[in-house]
Amino acid sequence: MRIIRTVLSLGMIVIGVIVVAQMARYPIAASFTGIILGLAMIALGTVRLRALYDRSGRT
Amino acid sequence: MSSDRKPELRRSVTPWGSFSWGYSDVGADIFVGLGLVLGAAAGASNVAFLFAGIVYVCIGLAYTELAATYPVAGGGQYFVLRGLGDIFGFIAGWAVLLDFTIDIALFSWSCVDYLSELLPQVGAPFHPWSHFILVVGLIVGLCVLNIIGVRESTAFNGFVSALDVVSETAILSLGFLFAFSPNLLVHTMQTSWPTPFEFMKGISLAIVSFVGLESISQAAEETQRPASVIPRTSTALILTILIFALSYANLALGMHTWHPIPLDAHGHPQMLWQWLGNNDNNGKAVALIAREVPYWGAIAAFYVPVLGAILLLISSNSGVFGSSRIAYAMSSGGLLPSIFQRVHARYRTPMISLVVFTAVALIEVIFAALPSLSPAMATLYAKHFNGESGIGFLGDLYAFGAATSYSFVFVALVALRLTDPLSPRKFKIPINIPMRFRGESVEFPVVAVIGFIGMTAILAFTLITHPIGRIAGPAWIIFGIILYFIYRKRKRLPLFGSRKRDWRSEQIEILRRAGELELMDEYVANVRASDVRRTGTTED
Repeated sequence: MRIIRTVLSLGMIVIGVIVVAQMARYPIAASFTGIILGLAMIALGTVRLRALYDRSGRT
Repeated sequence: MSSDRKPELRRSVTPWGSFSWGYSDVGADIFVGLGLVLGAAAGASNVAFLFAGIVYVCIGLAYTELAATYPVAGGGQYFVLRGLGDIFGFIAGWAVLLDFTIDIALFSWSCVDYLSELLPQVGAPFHPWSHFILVVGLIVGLCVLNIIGVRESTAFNGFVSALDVVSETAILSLGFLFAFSPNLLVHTMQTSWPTPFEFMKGISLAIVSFVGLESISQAAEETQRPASVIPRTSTALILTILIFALSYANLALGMHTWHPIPLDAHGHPQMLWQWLGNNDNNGKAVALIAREVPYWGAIAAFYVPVLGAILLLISSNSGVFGSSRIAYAMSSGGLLPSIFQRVHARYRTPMISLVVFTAVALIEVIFAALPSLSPAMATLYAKHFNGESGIGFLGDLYAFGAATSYSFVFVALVALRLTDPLSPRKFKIPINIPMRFRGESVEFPVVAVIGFIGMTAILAFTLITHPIGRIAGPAWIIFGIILYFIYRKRKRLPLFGSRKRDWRSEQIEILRRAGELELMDEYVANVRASDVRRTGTTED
């Protein structure tokens, strides 16, 4: 289960990077929303990874 | 152990339960918000969602910090009461109550809209009476279920939330893979950019997609070790909701549909976003966009309306339950008459609160439905309220209530950082300026100021662009303040000031109840050290 979650989180980060890279090519308004979307994906993937591997605050 | 100790909520909610609790409340908002924003902000809908989304991230982080520091169910009302005093706590709580009543009305309305995808006999455009009766029936039914004490289980919430996350991920992934064209997105944005007025209206409606953060604090009261769990689950919740909202908005503006889009009312061809945002479809936009995703749409056409309806019904139920709980908390804090604390003799539920706020929701539904039920009222609304009716009418008020209460929460966060620096904060909003205030080291939260400016702008947009919101919203607040003054005068409580409270003892009790014993010890040590610094003596 942990491996699946790790793969999903990493997948989210990779998709976020692709979205940022792709949308950066378009005019400012469209690219800005796309970049923020990609960054949010990267942030979510990172938060999930941290939650999986940082055990300091676990119940 | 004294026998007269207040009953406590059992802390049995797990991290996933905490996430799904919030998701089943906030996650439903996009089902309503997407169509409303597309109808208002047209080609700039994604930018409207982005603006509201950035403010939402700020308020979400503020709620996360406050809920982890003060894990009590009162939510925004409690934080504002503690940070700014009784009267502001009342105004924030009263605005939250408005939102909860709208929550009941709006989500029940939209629930029937989604059902009408499979049951056209209850569709508002052609069968307004059957739609109205079903909405009223759902609201009354939810009220009765809450009075007799039936609540949806955390397991059920978890199941529906998991199903929805998987479903929305599939819709968006397949939509972006097989039907999305960035060039079409850019073209739509360039050719259908709205006027500044429409853009402001779109932003004010976009905040509708992000309302329901009270659920974070409600979950905090029932989560094990909330100071550790809440920051993780609510950060994931905030980002998930933001990703879905931005993705839907971009997809709606740049998607090639699987089927031809029907002509508009005048027989002209229309684009996907125009079709989703018109008055007939704006209550079920997610179901329609799911239907237009290649391949997956064939299946999604059947289950997305049902899934959306269930999620919206859960959200509506959280309005019924939440309004009674907030009224109970405000009554306990001396902000509302004690009648709102009275519980049913047999079922032990706050029946009066449930009935009063459900009745308010029913009145709102009647006002929203009047134009579709009576041609004379339609003319009246067209003359005075820009013809706003249905979910547009309810969305107006929802935006006002949310923007008002969230604005106060930002100020409360700043106030609590300055006046209560001793409470341990396991999660802090990033970007802080260290400074000294009244002899204590404090950290000034820059993000709260940014969020406050953004939220005030959204409140201003709501007042400028919503003819109903700018009348009914402030009228609700003024009516509440009059009630508050009458009640406080009768009870001989300070009208503008606050009752004396021992926040230190209360904070120790809050952390003890939460099971955060390490934080409780840290708080007691901080208090002692502070007292030593001030007076040179220790206090036992």
